[in-house]
Amino acid sequence: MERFFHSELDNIRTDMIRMGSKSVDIVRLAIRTLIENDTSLVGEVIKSDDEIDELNKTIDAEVVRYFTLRAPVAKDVRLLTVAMKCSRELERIADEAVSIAKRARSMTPGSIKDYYNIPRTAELALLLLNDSLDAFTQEDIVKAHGIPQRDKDIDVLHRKTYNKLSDFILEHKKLSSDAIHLMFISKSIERVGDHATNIAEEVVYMLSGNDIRHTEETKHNH
Amino acid sequence: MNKMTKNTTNGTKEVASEKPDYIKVDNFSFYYGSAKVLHSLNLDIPYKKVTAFIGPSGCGKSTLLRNLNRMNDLVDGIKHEGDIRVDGESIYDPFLEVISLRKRIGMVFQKSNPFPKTIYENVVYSLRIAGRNSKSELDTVVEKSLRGAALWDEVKDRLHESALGMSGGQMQRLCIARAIANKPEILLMDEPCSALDPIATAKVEELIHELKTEFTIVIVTHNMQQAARVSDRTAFFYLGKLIEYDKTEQLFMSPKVKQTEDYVSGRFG
Amino acid sequence: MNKESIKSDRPKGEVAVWFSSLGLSLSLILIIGLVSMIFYNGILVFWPDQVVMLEFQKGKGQDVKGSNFIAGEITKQQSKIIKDLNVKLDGLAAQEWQLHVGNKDAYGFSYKFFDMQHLVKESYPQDIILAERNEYGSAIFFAKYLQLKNGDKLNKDDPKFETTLKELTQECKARRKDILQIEKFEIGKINSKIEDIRLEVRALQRKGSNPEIEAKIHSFDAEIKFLQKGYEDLAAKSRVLREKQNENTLHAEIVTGEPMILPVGNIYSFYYPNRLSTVDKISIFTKHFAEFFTEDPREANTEGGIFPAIFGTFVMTLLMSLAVTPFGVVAAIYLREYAKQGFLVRAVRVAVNNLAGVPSIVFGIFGLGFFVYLVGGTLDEIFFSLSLPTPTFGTGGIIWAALTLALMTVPVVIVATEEALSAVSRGMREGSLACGASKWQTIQNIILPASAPGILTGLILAMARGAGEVAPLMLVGVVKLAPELPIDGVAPFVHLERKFMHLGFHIYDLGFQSPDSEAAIPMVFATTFLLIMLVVALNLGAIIIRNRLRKKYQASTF
Repeated sequence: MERFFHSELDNIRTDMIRMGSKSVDIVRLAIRTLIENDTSLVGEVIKSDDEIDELNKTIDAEVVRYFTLRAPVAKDVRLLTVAMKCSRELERIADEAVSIAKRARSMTPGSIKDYYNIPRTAELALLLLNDSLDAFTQEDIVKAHGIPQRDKDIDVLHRKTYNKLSDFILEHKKLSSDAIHLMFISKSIERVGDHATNIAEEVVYMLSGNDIRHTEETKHNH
Repeated sequence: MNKMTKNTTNGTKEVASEKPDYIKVDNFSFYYGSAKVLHSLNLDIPYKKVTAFIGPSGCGKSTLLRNLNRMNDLVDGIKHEGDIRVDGESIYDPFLEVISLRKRIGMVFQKSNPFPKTIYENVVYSLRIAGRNSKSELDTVVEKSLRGAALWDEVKDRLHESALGMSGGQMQRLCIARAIANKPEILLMDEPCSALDPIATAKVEELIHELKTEFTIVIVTHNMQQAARVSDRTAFFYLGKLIEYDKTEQLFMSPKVKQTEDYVSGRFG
Repeated sequence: MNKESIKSDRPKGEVAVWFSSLGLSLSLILIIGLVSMIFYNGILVFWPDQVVMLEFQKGKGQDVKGSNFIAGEITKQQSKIIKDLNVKLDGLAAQEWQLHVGNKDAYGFSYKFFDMQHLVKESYPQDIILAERNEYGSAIFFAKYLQLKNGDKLNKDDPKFETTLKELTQECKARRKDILQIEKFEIGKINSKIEDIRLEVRALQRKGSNPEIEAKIHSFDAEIKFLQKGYEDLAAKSRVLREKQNENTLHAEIVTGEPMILPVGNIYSFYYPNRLSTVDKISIFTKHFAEFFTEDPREANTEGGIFPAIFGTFVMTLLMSLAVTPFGVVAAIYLREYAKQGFLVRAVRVAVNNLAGVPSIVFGIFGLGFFVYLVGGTLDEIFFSLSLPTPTFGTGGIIWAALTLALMTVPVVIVATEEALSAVSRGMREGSLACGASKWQTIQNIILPASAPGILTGLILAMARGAGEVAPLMLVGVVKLAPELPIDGVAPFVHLERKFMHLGFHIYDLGFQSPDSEAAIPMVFATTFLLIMLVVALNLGAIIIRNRLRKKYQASTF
């Protein structure tokens, strides 16, 4: 039987989806700041981050209220805990996006022509995030299961970028500051991938009740 | 659930009641013989909202509820101080006939108490005793009340069978239909689900949620989850005193008084 | 676990099961014994026995009217008490038999013990006849011939003898009905009319005398004369019919050799007791049984049926229930629902319970003093002053009997009703009040219907007690033979002032007041059996109604 308060769960889910799409947008915006060298986008990124923070708080409040008043069990509990954790992950993603945008703004335009694997990494990370959120929205456990493996590609790309930027610093000492920014940006993108993976793992938990974190399947090769 | 109720329960937003002190309990004390069972209660119950009374057994919550329609008048040796006003009018007004008060305030009891009559006659009982016997009117009321009590589809083909052949949950909803048949303004519920299984309980709770668009509902319950689920306001009583009265979320999420905190978190006693 | 510990762990007090079951079995045995004894003896009355003919040694003290032959139905066989210790007897010789010999007009008795010591021969003659007669009980004889009114003689060996006799008895039976119709109803009607006119005349005479009244009285006189003429006509008609009853006679000889002449009109029915097949016996049994239920008593109640007693008991019990139910229920409603529970109410309750323990004869005396003399006397003075000093209501009657018994049984109804009212759940009362019902509406619509089964239980107990009560009735209206039923076809159809017959009193009367107590014993058993059956039937009826109500109103919650 559908109860009158079950609609509140739908509200939480809707908020989650909204927050997810905002997170994808904010990461995309941050990458554009870097790639297109458009520092005017930074303000937008920061504003979007504020909205995401607000949504994070709303979802937390709704979840706590639901726990207090509705005594949820089974898949409702999983949805609520996952919503709480994932909203935290999304909030972190937004923070990484802000960091990317700010570092992009701090860099001297045109100083480093080659961003190495960064655009590719960003593309993969965005795809990963998008798929994680899709897995949540569509309740697609197969898709969610595939994501931790895909994160390894991002890690590999990031390591390559890191090594190349290390060499770059040794060769061009004057540009070392911008290169270090790029290193951090790459790291942030890699972090976005990690958060997306965490979301996917939570989605698996939400849908099946199995906790796949820190198992052989998902172990990160740092 | 339909769209309409979705809006009213959405999140922490609450539609303010048009009459926040529709029922006003004003410095009310109550005695059984020499035992004082209610101590100077002050409480405003808002119009068209669900207000829940919770508290351990013997805390006076049922006594207060049964005073709202003066059901306690049946007991010998009672005495009260202070006043209770419904929509500004004292229920102890000597010119007020207690029968007419009870017609304005319907009541549903802990144990479902259908009369040994047909389903139809149970619903129209309050109309019959008021001398309203027009067949067409009664038919309309029966359908409307049973629909209101979410029972129509289950019993429409056996309206003229005995009410005692129904299931426990159906009987309780029949009692609700009977209570709302005469269009009262207030609906009092004294632990309406304490004898029902979870599914019947859920149905009654759904019903309460729908009925609050039409009635001011006061519910006494031992089940804190139920109070949390169905009510807008919750009052916590202990030993005949009102310990805390607040919006339900507030009372359950961050109660101000330690006793309330202990009670709702199960650390009481 | 060893044996010892098992023993010591046995729950204490299990013996109580055996002890309490002993009580139940004892009372069951007693009840079953009593009922089956009454049933056996009561039912046996209707079964046609064989008629035995005994021949004794002459001059040994067994002779009846100088004859050593006797015939009759065996009613008892027992060993005799031998006072002389030197005499040793065994077998048949040690017995004495009680025979129902009939022919009371010839012998002067109808039951007698015979010493079997001097028995010569025991036989069962095929052509002996047992006839039930209008007077003197049954007759046992050998038929000789039938003297018909046209002078013909029909010998007993004639093949037409039996059928002719049967036809003639049937004819007489029909004629007897006609006579009864004339004598009892038609003449009765005229008599009551004459009585009415006489009362009116008396009323007129009291008013004084003036020409107008004189003229009226005169016209009444003429009317009386006219009615008296009608009476005489009817009397003559019945006389003719009565004479016709004696037209044909049966000439017979009883076993002592004495001749016997029986007018056919005197014979109710006859049969050859020693020729009967089982089927015949069953048909005679059913006939007797039906007669017992439907016919008036004859021969000082020792013969015939007991219909008036059944009817009287039934009507009286019904009237009593009608009186006691509203009275008791209303009282109980006040006590339980309205009165403030306190010392006074408790005192009243104790008083009511004590009332149930007052000996019933006290109620009878109260009924006689209060109902019959005071209420009835006052009624007579107000409404029936003309017929005084003959009392109408101022003497025992079925209404006073019913009211007296109602008074006696009202505590039972009050107590049971109170119990039933208090058993109605509080929830149901509150539910009704919460709907805006007043207290009386709640009682009327909810409490009374729900407590109806309990109230009926009280009524059942009251009825069972009332129907079986005798002592108070003897003072307030029961008679051993009532000429008229309390309800009949004469306007106003229900005659509450009439005296009536009652099964319980009938038993007492048969058993202890009858001129021939031996003859009455079978009737006592049959009547007792019937009274028990009537009480059982009344109870069963009420129980069935109660169960139906209980099913309807059973307040099951889950």
